[in-house]
Amino acid sequence: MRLSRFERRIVAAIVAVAVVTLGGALWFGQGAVSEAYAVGVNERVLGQLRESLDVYQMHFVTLRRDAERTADAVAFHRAGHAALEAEDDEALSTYLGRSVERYPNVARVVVIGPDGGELARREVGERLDEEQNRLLTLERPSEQGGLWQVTLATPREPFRAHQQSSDVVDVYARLVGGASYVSSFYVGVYIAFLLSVIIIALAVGIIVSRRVTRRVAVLAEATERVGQGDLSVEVPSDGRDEIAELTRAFNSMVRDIKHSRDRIEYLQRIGAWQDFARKLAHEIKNPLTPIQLAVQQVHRTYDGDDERYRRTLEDANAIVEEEVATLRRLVGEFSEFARLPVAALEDADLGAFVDKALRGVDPKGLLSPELADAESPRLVLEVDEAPTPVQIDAQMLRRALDNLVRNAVQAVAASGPEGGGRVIVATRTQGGEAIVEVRDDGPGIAPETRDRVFDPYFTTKGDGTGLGLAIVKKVVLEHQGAIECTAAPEGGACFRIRLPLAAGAPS
Amino acid sequence: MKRALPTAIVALTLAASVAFAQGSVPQRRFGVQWRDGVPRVHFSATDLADESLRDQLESGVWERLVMRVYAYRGEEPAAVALRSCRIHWDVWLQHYSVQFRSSRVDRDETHRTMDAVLDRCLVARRVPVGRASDYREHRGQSVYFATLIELNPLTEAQVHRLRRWLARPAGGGRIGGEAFFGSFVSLFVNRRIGQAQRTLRFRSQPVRVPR
Repeated sequence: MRLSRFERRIVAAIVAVAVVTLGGALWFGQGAVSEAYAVGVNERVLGQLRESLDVYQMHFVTLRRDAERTADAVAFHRAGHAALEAEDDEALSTYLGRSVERYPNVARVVVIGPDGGELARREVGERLDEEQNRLLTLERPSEQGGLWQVTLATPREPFRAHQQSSDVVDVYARLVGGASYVSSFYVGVYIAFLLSVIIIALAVGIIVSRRVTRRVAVLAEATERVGQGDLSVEVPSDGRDEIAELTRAFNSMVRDIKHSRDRIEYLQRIGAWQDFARKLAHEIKNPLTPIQLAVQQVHRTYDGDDERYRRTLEDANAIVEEEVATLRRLVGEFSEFARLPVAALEDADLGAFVDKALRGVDPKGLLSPELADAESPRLVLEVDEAPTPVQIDAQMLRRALDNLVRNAVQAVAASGPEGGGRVIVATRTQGGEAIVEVRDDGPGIAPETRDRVFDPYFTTKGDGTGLGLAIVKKVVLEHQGAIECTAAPEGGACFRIRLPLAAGAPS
Repeated sequence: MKRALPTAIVALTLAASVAFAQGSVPQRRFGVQWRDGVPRVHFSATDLADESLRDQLESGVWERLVMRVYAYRGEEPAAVALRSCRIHWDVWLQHYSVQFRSSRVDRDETHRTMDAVLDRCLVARRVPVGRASDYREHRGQSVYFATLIELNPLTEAQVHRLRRWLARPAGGGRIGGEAFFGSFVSLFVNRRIGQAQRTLRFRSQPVRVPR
């Protein structure tokens, strides 16, 4: 996995923070583990535990001594001795019975005669249970040459407890002896968990930084493309974080740059065309009058009888008159185009302006002579009632609006739709901009020519000069706005003018 | 027990390879008899049982004396004999219980005196060290025997108890008594946690392997 420089920095920052923080935790943790271990496992406790074993041992010694004394007491008692002496079996039996009753640790007493034969026996069955008791048989000599066998019982449980305690002490002693060994493992496990936390933090950091840096990298790449002049860049800006905001700001900036560049380029281009139009108008306009006068002179001064020649002169004169008039109209339009003034912007309400400019306009009057007999479309105004404050040069914008409406009316009329068709002029506010749309339900404009319709001298009409829409765009640009040509929902063309709202206007 | 013994012998052989190779180990006279190619050694280490050791054996707690006799050729052990005694002074019965274990004997005994116990556990009488095949390569060469006697060396059972203690310091029966860190620590604890409580070492004079 290759990390970018930004990611490496983030990872380095995480590592630095983790090392400093967890290093401190490790230092304290090591001390805490060692101290905690020493609190629970130390020589003092071990000494106490060993002493408890000694107590057990002393207890067992006492038990043994008690057993010895009990055996002595049973074997050397006067009553027993007298019974043996008198060879009184009943008295001996009685004595044995009293002995086992008197001494609860005596489980069995057997009296052996000098010949080895058993003289008497008394036992307590439950005391002879070796599961519960440990038994000890002690022998004492009798004065008659025989033997007293006294079996003593003591509970087994203390011996079991002693064994368990000695096991515990043994384990504990090992833990004390291996204190540094065991605590080193505690520290080791602690370190392992710390390292796991660091690794998890690093992994999370890399994953998170990846998400951020990937988007930053995309942004950087887009910036590079913009630097190389590609203003068609659009970076995806999903999300709500700062990177998404930055991306949206970047996209907006690129759009603004593109808009400004297009505007500058267009203005430069149209400026050149204006120069050209001015020169062309001048060069055409100057010879028109001499040509017209010369032809009129020839026509007036002929006084011959050749009727055929006279008609030829009249036809020529009419043609020249007509063409000169056409040329004068062209020269007029060229001059008008060349003399487009700089907009003098003033505050206005766009809706009111459009309403005033177009209310009561008869579309029929906008038709060209060639379409005089065609059915005129209806002109529909959809003006936003809310104020739309803009800064406009009313005269220039009216002219632009007039051009657009005139074009739309003529296009609809030329297409001859049933019912006369519609031309809709609408205003609204959208996305912080004031919008003026001129839509129609005519034949529309082919998509491949929409980008060129604003170029000077580009026209699809037989008698057009190709200056109308160029003038419109120039006017819109003078208003710091933009214009685009799209397809209208009604099926025809849609010219959408975007103008910046005046400062202080609600967006 | 019998199955585990060869494994234990191999492990002990490897473990001891360094034990006698380093440092100066006291030397004492071993009696060695060769029968069927196997050396049978006899020696006594009872004189090494000092008061401290005797006191410990009288403590009433089960103690363990493990004796290993190695046959060395150079610095590499060639064979080993292992025997162990678990000794317990039963103050109630006033005798020593001895659980004697070797490769050939597995016997529980009782002895009345400490000297008898030491004689049983610290005196080697014709103890065979290894098999004839262990010495076949060394015929005519010089070997020596080394004895390692340990008091209460750590056993697997004790290591198991240690691990259980670390994993469940509150005791095995308690619900939720599992220690988080201790459970991990217990995984790493092994016999290195502790040595035998006491260790005695000595070696024999050089002995020539018969041809």
